[in-house]
Amino acid sequence: MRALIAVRAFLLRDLRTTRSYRFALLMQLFGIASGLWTYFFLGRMVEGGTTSAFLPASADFFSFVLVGVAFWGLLSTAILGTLNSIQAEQRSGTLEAILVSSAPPWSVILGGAMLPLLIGVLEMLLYLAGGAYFFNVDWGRAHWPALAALVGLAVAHGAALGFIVAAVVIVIKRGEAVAWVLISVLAMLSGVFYPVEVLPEPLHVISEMLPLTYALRGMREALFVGGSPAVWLYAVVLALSTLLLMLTGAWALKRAIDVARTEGSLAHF
Amino acid sequence: MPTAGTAGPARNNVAIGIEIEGLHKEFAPALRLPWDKSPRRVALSNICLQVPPGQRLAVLGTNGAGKSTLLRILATLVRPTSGLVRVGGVDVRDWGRVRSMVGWATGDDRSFYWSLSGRANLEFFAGLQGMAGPATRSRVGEVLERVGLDDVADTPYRAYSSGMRQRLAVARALLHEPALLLLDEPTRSLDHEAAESLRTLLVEYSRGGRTLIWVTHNRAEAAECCDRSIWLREGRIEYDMPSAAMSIEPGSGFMALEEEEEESCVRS
Repeated sequence: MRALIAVRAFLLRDLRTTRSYRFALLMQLFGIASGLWTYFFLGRMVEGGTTSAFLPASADFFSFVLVGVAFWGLLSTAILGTLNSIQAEQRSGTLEAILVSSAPPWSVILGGAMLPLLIGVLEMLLYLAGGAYFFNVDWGRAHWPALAALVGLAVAHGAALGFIVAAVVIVIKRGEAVAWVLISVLAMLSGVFYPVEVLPEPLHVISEMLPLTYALRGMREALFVGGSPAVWLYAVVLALSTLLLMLTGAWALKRAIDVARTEGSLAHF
Repeated sequence: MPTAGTAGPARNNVAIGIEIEGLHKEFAPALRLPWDKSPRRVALSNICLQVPPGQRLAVLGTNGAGKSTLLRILATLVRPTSGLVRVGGVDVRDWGRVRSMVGWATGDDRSFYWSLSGRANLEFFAGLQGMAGPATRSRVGEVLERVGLDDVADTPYRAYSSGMRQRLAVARALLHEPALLLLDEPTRSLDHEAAESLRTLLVEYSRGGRTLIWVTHNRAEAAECCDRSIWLREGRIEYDMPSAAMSIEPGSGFMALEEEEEESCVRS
């Protein structure tokens, strides 16, 4: 309960702070619109190429990438949001004051990432809605509850990855590079922009071991095919790996805070 | 002293003491590379201190003597290298349990959100203490009034003067009515009247068994507001005596008026 109250406090704080930055929100909407057009034209260019053989039956390249990009934006937000929440507090000088409170550290980091995550979910929905409205992408077969379950699990997965990156930031004070390498490698290997089947064999083998590959497969299956048994199988794989990652992330975070307390470097950046 | 209002009903109204035995703290990177030859810095050495519940202890000393490190260890922000530190019978290494008993008024004015008002800042920190609902807003209003910031409660923090920021830090520490209040030079940037008002508030707050650890450079303040004073030099307790027995004359050194040094707490 205490943790939930803390998360709510962060959300209210960030809403109050963001109120004065409406222009940034407008720019985000512009970014989504330009992204949609870019992938639409890219889709027209590659349509009928070798990639098409690996696409789900009712999907073209544009709708395939649309799902990947919409989801990837949210996952990047989950990873970077947790990282940014700790860095922002370190830089503003508020981290120590926060950690003296009785809020659990994980709730502090999750709380700081909550508003960006909610905006990320909204962005994802805007991508899907924009695809349907402007480019006639057909979501008629979509199984929305399955999609919601997969998105929820994937966000938790991203947040757990963010906890680990935040732990690195607390100890070595530099985490952006780690986060960007992680995001880039995961984007390359988990099938955001193309089916993983087009990857060279060694990379394809690695991609099949990544839970996020199954997250993306599950989402596309849920959107293009519906609530097939395969979707739920992907969800189970994602849930188990997320649980493991959450436990690892929570341990890493606690360990990192202990190291920083030993060094007296909690507020350093 | 001017009156500054009375302390409200205690949320953490159990009186707690502090036990410190053989505390040693040195700063060094936790992950030390083989070629890293940077020296370890000893901040506190062999500190022994018993603070009974309800005592107001002044911590004095020169810059770099270890005052803030001692405060940060009690606030669980820094981990002791060795020795035992217990707050209310709980080891500070068990930081989750200790933090709910502690209020920390930092001297760092960067510890608030500059674009938010004083009220919004306090509402945020109240949430982190597990406070929610309409009672939070009235509690925030109450502490703002007690530190004399009620008329600027909705002004952005960036427009506050140094003294206002200092008072807001004290207000934040009082929000959850902690049993142990850690004060890092709480009257540093205040004018005479505001300082007196805050001292009155803090002394009144301590009545009823709350313990205060009060870091200050002001000996007159220590003598006026605290039962006992310790003087730290190079990480060690040099003097430990009742504040009333302390010389407050500037330049007189930290001498007991009757030259009686109480060193019973100091382990060699």
